Amino acid sequence: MLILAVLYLFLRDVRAAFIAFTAIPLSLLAAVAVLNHFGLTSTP
Amino acid sequence: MTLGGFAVALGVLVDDAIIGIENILRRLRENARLQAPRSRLEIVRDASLEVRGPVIYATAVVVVVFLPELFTSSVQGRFVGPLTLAFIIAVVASLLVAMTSTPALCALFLRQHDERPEARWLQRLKSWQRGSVHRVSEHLRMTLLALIGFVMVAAGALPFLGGTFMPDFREGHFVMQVSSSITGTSLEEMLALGTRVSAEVLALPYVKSIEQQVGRAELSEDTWGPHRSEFHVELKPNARWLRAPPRKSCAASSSITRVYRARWSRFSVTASARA
Repeated sequence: MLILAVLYLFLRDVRAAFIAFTAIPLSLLAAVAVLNHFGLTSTP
Repeated sequence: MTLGGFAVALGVLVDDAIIGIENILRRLRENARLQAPRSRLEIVRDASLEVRGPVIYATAVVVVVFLPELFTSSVQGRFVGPLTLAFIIAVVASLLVAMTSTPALCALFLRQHDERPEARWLQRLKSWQRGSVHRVSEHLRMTLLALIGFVMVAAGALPFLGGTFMPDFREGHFVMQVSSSITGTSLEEMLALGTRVSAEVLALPYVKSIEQQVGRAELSEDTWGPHRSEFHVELKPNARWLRAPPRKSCAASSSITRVYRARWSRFSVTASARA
């Protein structure tokens, strides 16, 4: 939520802020997919 | 620890996307002012190609800075390794996202003609920054000298920075072991002793509470008889010694030990406290 607020403050565009925001879950999803593929868990 | 890596990466993940979106917004704004505006798709494509280099460099630098962590050995390496790996993978993934899905989403959803100018405070910040950059470039030699000076000071301070993997805990909690010299000492006797020990310890100004543990459960980890007893001493949170360096707190515990040596000599009680 904080990230969204800051993004809106600087980009002055709700759509742009949301597009930037989608990068977070997308990247994390990709990262988890890679980690999962190599069999790493969250608690090593 | 992989989750820790993600938490650290959270702020970095949006960076690449923001650089791209900012440039696309700027180009779209400029395009809207043109006599014959070009199509949005072209603008988005050109704008994201424009910042492709900087985005890749920025990500590469962040990854390179974290790479040495992967080669730390022993316990430290096992501890930090997964965090670093998760961080690097997440940042690289954010680069891929910024290269692919972000421009696509921009092309789909951003307004074609954004007439609104930038926020006024943003403009003011930018002009202030422009001014200071100009001033710095006028005195380039002095700036460089100051930079070298700061780097030298920082490098000189390096040996004085301590480093431990696990810092000393100051929990304000002691476990004190009291054992009687006579192995057959009864539960009742130890409890009576414990009451006296507790009263004595509670009289100390920095002790908040104390509890005694005596005897053993059927499947206990502590396999000794009732002649050994453990006291959990909780210290007051604002006790002055808590802020003192660890050596001082050791002195505090040894003073507790001494109290018991003197007072309960009937069994030659040995009490040892550890934080």
